[in-house]
Amino acid sequence: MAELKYVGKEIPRLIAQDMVRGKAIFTGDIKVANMAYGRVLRSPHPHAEIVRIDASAAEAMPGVHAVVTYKDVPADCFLTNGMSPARHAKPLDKKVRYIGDAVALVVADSEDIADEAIEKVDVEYKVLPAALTIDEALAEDAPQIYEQLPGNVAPLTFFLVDNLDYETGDLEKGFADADIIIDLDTELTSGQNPLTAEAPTIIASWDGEGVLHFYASCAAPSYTAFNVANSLNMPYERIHVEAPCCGGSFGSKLFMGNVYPLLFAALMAKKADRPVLYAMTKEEHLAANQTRMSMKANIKLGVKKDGTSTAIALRQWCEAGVAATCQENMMSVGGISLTMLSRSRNIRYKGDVVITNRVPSGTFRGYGYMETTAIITRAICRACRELDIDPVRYFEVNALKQGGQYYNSLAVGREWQVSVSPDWDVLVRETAKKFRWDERFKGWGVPTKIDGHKRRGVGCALCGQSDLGGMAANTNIMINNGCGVIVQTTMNEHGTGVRDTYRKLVAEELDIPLEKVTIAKADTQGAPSDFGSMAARSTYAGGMTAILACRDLKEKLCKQAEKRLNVPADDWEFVGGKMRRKSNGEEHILPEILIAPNSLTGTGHWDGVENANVCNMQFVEVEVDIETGVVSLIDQMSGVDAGKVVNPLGLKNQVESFYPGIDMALMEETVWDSNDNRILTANMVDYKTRTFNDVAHHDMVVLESFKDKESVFPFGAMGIAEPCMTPSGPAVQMALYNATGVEVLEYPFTPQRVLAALKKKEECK
Amino acid sequence: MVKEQLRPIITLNVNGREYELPVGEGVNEISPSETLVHTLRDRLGLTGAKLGCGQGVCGCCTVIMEGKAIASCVTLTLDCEGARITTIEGLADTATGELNNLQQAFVDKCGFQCGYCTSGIIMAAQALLDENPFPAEAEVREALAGNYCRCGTHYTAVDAVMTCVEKNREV
Repeated sequence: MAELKYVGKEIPRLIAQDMVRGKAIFTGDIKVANMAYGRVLRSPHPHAEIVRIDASAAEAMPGVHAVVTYKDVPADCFLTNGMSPARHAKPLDKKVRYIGDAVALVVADSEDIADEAIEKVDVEYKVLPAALTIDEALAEDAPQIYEQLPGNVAPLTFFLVDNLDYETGDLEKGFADADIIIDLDTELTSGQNPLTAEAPTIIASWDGEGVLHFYASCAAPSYTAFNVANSLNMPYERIHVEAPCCGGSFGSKLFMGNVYPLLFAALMAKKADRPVLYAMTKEEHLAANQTRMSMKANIKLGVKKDGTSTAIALRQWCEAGVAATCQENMMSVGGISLTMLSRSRNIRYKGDVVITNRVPSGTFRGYGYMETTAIITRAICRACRELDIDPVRYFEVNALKQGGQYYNSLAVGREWQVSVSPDWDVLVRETAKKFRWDERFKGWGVPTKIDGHKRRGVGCALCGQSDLGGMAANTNIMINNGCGVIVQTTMNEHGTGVRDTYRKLVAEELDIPLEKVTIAKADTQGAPSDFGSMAARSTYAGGMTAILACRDLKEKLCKQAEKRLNVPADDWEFVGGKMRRKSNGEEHILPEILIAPNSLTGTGHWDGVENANVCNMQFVEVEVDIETGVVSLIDQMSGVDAGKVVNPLGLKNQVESFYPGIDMALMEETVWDSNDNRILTANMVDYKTRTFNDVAHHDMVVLESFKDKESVFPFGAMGIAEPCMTPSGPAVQMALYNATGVEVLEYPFTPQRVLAALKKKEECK
Repeated sequence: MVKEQLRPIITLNVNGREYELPVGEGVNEISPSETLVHTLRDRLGLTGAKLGCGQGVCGCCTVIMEGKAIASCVTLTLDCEGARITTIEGLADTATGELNNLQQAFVDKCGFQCGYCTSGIIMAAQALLDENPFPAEAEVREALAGNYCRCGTHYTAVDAVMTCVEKNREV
C-alpha cells in the first residue's frame, strides 16, 4: 500500500487559528441587518389549559415587535422527524404540558426589552391534573396528555416499520442452558443534560420568496432542515440552514425531532417580519430543552460458568416527556447492546415510549445504547458476582468478532448483520493489560487498597454501537483549473475534527497537497443533503462519500481530457495534480482541459451500509470514603480501535471526552420537584459538573487494526468518537461495588446514596 | 447659538485602545445593569468572549481586567471605568498578528474541541502566566477551576498551557 501523506499525521486543525484568536464565528456572534431578539414565556404549571391570553400590553411596549401565541401556530404544525409516532406536540399549544412549556414568544429590539414585555403577557390558566412519572402516566385513570396518544403511550414506529419489538432464537432454551439467570427490575432516572457550553442559538428570517433561512448552531444542518420542513409542512428545499461554528452537540444539536428552538425563531421572525435571534438562556437550557431519557426496565440475562451469555431479554419503558420525537429511534439503536454485550442469539426486546408532563427527553451522545449498556451491565455484574467470573473474562468471551453476527433491528429484512469491524475481544484484552487489571482486581467486592476509612476498587465496562455506516451521506467535490478543490458537505464541525478528516481523505485520494483542499461552509444550499455529523459516522459514512466523490471527479477529469485532447479517457490518470497518459507518461496541466473560470464536480453518494460497528472499553479505579460517602475517580483507562487514526490529537481529545460518562455516575443530576416536575437544578451551580482542577490520572489504548491493511473503511479509518463516554458510568458502578461490597444502582452515586447503602449492608450483617 | 449637552461617559481601555461610551438608559447607551460581556460583544464587536451560563460559573466569558481573570458576564460595565481590559483578540502581536506563546501552544497541542469555552480557558491561563510564568500543573488546574468544558479538553488544554510554560523556561 502507498504510504499515506496526511492521514494519521498531526496537522493543526482547520479552525485552530480562528479559535485561539477569538475569531471563530458562532451563531450568537452574527448580527443580521434589522435583527431583533426573541424570548420565551414559559408555563408555571405542569398541565393546564390556556383559558385566556392577552398580549396587548406587551405588544404596546416601545421596542416590542411581536408576541407569538398558540393562536399564531398553523393548525397542522407539529414537531416531527418523519419517523416519530402520530403528530402530537406543537411548538405552542392551547394546552401547556410541563413547567417550562412555551406560552408566548416575544420579539423586541433587545433581550432586556423582551424580558420586560414577557412580564406583561396576561395569561389565565385552568390547571389540569398531571401525570408526572412513567407509573402515573401508565395508570388506568391517568390524565390523557394528548388525544392522539391514548394511554400516554407512543407506539414504536420507524420508516415503513410499525413495530420495533423483536424476538429471535430460542429464549426458553437459552435460559435453560444458563448456570445463572439474572432477572432485574431497574431504572435510570438522573436525566442528565447534554449541556453544551453554547446553549442552542438560532437566527431565523424569511425572504420574499417564502424561503426560511437559518443560521443555526447545529451538527446536522440537512437533517435539521428536513425536520423543520416536516414540522412546518414545507418542502425541504425551502428551508435553508447555514451552520457556523457549533459550540458542542453531544446529540443535542441534531434537532432530531426536538426542533423547538428553530420553530420558535421561525414563528417569531414570521410575525415580526424581520430576522430574529433566539439564544436559549442557560436556565432554559437546563430546565426547558431536553434531558437524557429516563426509563424503567427489566433485564433478564442468562450466563454460563465459562462466562458465555446464553440468552438476553430487555423490556423498557422510556420517558419522552411531552414530546415523542426520537425516543423510538434511540431505543432501536440501544437494542444493539443485546448482541454487543452478549454473544447469545436468543434475544428479545420490547419497548414503549411513555408521555409524561415533563421536559422532553431527547437525543444525547450514547443514543439509547448508553442507557441499555448501563442497564445490561448491572445484570452482567450480578451474574459474574454470583458465578465468580472475572468481568474482563465475560467481556472477552462475549465480544463481537469480525465476521460475527449482531442484531440491528433498524436493518429491516437483514437484521442479523455480519461485522466488518475488528475483533473486539482484542481491545478488551489489550486495554485490560495496560490497566494491569489482573494485578489490580482482587475479586468481587474486595477492595484493591484500604487506607483508614478509604477503600479503593476497580471496575470495567464495554459498549458497542452500529451507527457508523447507517443512513445516507453525500459529498460534492469541485475542482478548478488551478487544481484546488472545494469540498461541499453539510457535516458540520462541532469539535470532533470531521472537517479535518475530510480534508485529509480528499488530499490523500486526489494526490494533491493539503492546502489545495478547502472545506466549504456547512450550508444546505451549497452542499447535498446528508444525515450529519453524529453517531461516530462522519469518518466512515461521510469519509466514504468524500472518497467516492474523488473517484467520480477523477473519472470526469479523464473524460474532459478525452474531449479536449483527443486521447481516450481510459488512457488518462490524474496524478500529482496533473493529467498523465498511462501509455507514454505524457503530462498535461489542468488549464489545458479546463479554461478558467470552469470547474468539474465529482459526487459521492452513500445510501447507508450497516455491518460496521464500534466498541469502547474502559477501566476505572475509584476511592470511596466510607465515612463521608464521597466517591472519587482515581484512575481511568480508555481503549479504542480506530482502524487507522486520521487526526492523532483530535482522536486523543475525543477519547478524553469521557467525563460526562463518569459524572453521570458521580455528580450530574437533573433534580425534579416531585410535586410538579419543576427542575430544581436550572443553573450551573446546582447542576454539578467537573472542571479542570478535579481530574484523575488517565491513559488510553489506541489500536489500529486496519493500518496498512485492506478494509472497507476509508484508508482503514473507522471513527471512534461517540461511544467514548458510554462505558464510564457502568465501570464506576462496578468499581464502587468492588471498593465497598455494596451495590448502588441509582445514578449519581451521591454521598447520601452511598452512605445509605453502606448502612443497609451493616444492618444486614 | 451653541448648544451644550452634558453626557455622562465611561472610559474603557480594551486591548490597548481607549473607548468612550455614553452612559444612560437609551438604546445606544450603557445602562447601569449592562454587563461587560455585552459591552464587549455587542458594542465593541469583540465576540471572542462567549456568553455561557450568565452567572460567572462556566468561564466562557473570561477576560483579563487589571491583571486578573474575571467573569465578564457578572461584571457591570459601569464598574470598569478606566480599567485596562484584555480580551482574547488582544493576545496576538498587534503589528504582525503573530500568536503569543500560549495561543500557539493551543494550536500545536489541539487544546480545544468545539472551541466555545476555549477563549475563556486561554484568558484564565494567560492571567495566571502573566503573574507566574512557571506555574506547576496543579496551579494551572486551580486557575482553570472556574472553566467548564463539555468536550473534554481537561487534558489537552492543560498540556497546551504546560507546553507554553516549558517555552517560557527556554527564553
